[in-house]
Amino acid sequence: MRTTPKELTAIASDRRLLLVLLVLIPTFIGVWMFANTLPFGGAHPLEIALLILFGLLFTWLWIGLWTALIGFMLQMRGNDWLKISTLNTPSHGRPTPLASTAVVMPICNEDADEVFARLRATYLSLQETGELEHFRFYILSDSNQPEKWVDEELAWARLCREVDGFEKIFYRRRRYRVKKKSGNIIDFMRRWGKKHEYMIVLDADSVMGGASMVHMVQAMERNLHVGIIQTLPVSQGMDTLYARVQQFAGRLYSPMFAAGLAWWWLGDGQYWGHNVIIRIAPFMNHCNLPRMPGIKPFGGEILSHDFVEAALMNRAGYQVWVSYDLPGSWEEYPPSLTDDLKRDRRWCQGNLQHGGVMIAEGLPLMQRFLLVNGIMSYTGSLLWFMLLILTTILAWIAPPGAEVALEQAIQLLWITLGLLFLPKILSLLNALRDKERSASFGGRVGLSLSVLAETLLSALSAPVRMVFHSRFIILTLMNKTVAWGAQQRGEFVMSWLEAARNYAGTTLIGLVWGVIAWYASPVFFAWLSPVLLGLVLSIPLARLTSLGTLGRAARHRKLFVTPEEIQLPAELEEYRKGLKLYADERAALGEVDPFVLAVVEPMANAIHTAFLRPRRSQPESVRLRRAWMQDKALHEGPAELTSAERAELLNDLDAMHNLHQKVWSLPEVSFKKYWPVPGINA
Amino acid sequence: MPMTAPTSSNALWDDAERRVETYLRAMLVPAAIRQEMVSTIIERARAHSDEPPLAAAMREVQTHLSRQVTRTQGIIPSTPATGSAAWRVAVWRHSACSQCTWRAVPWGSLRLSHEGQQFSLSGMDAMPMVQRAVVAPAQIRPAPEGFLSRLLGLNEEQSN
Repeated sequence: MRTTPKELTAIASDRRLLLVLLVLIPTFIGVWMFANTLPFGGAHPLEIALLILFGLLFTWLWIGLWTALIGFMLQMRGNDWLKISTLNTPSHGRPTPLASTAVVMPICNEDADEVFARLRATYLSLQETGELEHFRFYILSDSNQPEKWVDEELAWARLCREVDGFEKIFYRRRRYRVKKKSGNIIDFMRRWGKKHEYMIVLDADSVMGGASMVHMVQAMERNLHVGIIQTLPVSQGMDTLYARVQQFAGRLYSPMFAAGLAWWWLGDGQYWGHNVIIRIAPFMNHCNLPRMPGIKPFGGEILSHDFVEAALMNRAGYQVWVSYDLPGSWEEYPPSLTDDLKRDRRWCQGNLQHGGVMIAEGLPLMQRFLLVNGIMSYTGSLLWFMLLILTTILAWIAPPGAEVALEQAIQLLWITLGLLFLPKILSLLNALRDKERSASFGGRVGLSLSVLAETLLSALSAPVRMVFHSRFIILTLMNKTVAWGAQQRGEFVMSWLEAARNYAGTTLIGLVWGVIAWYASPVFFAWLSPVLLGLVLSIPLARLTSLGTLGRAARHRKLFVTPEEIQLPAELEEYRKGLKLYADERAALGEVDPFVLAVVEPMANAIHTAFLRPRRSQPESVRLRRAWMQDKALHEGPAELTSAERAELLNDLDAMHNLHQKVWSLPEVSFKKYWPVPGINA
Repeated sequence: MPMTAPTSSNALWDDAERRVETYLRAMLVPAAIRQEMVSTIIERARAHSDEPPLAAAMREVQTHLSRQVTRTQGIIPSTPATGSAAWRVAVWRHSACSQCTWRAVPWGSLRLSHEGQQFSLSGMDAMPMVQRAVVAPAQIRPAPEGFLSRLLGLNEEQSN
């Protein structure tokens, strides 16, 4: 039986109405109970502000809890009749024919070996399905570091040669990075979008299973009103303690939340930018992001593009689904708390900007709410911080011996703790009831201990996030940027000094706040102590959780184990094989500067120059400058060239041909000294 | 005639010969035919003896490789450097050919196509033919008036 879009809309309305009631009723009761616990009975202006903050936070906690509970029930029941992976499956049982699909991977200054090992695993998995002919792979590079892009070109050629992927796997690099990632995708669509019906967007750290990709295309073909299907990517391959804890938490809790979200989002959801399939034609017609009017932080280029694109797709009448039950969708997690916060900094700025989009004309009500929800994922921290500060002030100014409804205060505390921890407990129960499932998380004992330890670590890190998110919001609203280094993807050991530099302020806030709370009331100090503890311990927390040794030790003791580690999926096994293959090749080649390789090594030079277009004309000043750069490289060595000069030469076909021939014509001493390539002259 | 002394000139030509040999080895040209190629290239380079031997030899390497493209495909490249690069890519791609690894094929009989495969690399291989489309920016305008009613979905007809 087919479910029409109209029927779907009616079901969605009913479900959302139910959710609204389930959230608002307990929220009002909670606010009333909270008012009763306050020393002035909710009459003091400070208390009114507190009640507003509490009400907002409580609403979002209830949304989270009901989403988790619904997801839990769906998981327990085991069959959700209204999910996109099976929606409108024909009764004849024959597989739905596929349509032409582009698999696009936008990248920017990533490690080429890792990126191409992931792509290789995805490609080979798709090949296994026998449906490769319907797919074309596009690596869309925005890399501007000369060494990175030479690496990418060579890695592309190497992969194509290995898997016979010429004319199936394509590579292009943009010279001008207009509108960053979303601009990169739109540029692809302008040039090649008309060739394909769908595109599956991968991130640089994505690996996807071929069977899932085939299922996604089939689901799109069966449901012509669907514009986007987002899979649920789970983290894999992490080593540091921090990332392993997040990986474990995501693997255990996310499927339940995603099932709950899919229940009330239905076809009006959001997507998260990658491991997703998109119908190209409506995306091209409706989702090219304009520059927002006004000044920053709300004006300018849209930073977090995915939520806005989903909203625009929905506005155009196309559905946006989350498919929580399709396996074979992986990503990687930032290795440390600092890296996670760096990512949050970008996302926070992007989500706040959605305040401007939220009021756009014609957006469906659900999409407006989801944009607010995205904003709340960061402003929630600021609201919590404000709530705690106001509570501290209230504790300070409360008259001695003020009456507090202790019984209700304790009840409220239990409710709040339930809201915070029940989703974790439900996920744990869901895994424990099935022996096989609990074994895939390291066994019942390991799983239970892992949940306990994860809860402790997340409780400690939550106040740190609260302070940082609050800072990000304030700085964004003041239109100021926070300087962080580039995001790390692999393991990177954070020194004590770096940890102290990043978290000294947080520690100081914890100490000062602790003293104030103690003088206000020792009971209040005890109530606040979990928050204070997280802040005071932020330096060792950030440093120790960034260690790979601790992460591996935990894995050895069956803590934070995920199903992918117990039974390695074929795609991830292939990914590891690819990594090893490339690492061995690199070791055999030895240390070499990619620029030198592109100039000297005959094959590398040929491959690199094959990407360049011959120039028709060149201003005399440019010609002279490039001739001077070549002379400098030849006589003083390539190390004397700046990164910009290298980039300019690498972009010039004649210069690269000329340098190749001239370097090979250098006297032996200069050839070896300045242009060493192991296996050739070193 | 070169102006350098015969002994020093011979040493320079020996250096040039070694450099050409290194270049062809880096291209994985099999040892069996490498020496013959080196001799041919050096012989031709000596004919341009107004240049330093290394430069003459390396220029002749590029010309020699470029000629392969002309000989096998009938294409005259715009410059020897372009032809040489095309030939190097051809050889490199052919080295992965599952039907006949290029080591088993005599260098001279390499062809630019083999069982439907094109042994060239150009922008077209790196990316398919462009099929341009116009992608106009979406309209994101703040709702002008009656925002609240729109927010509550009260005037859907108007927004449609």
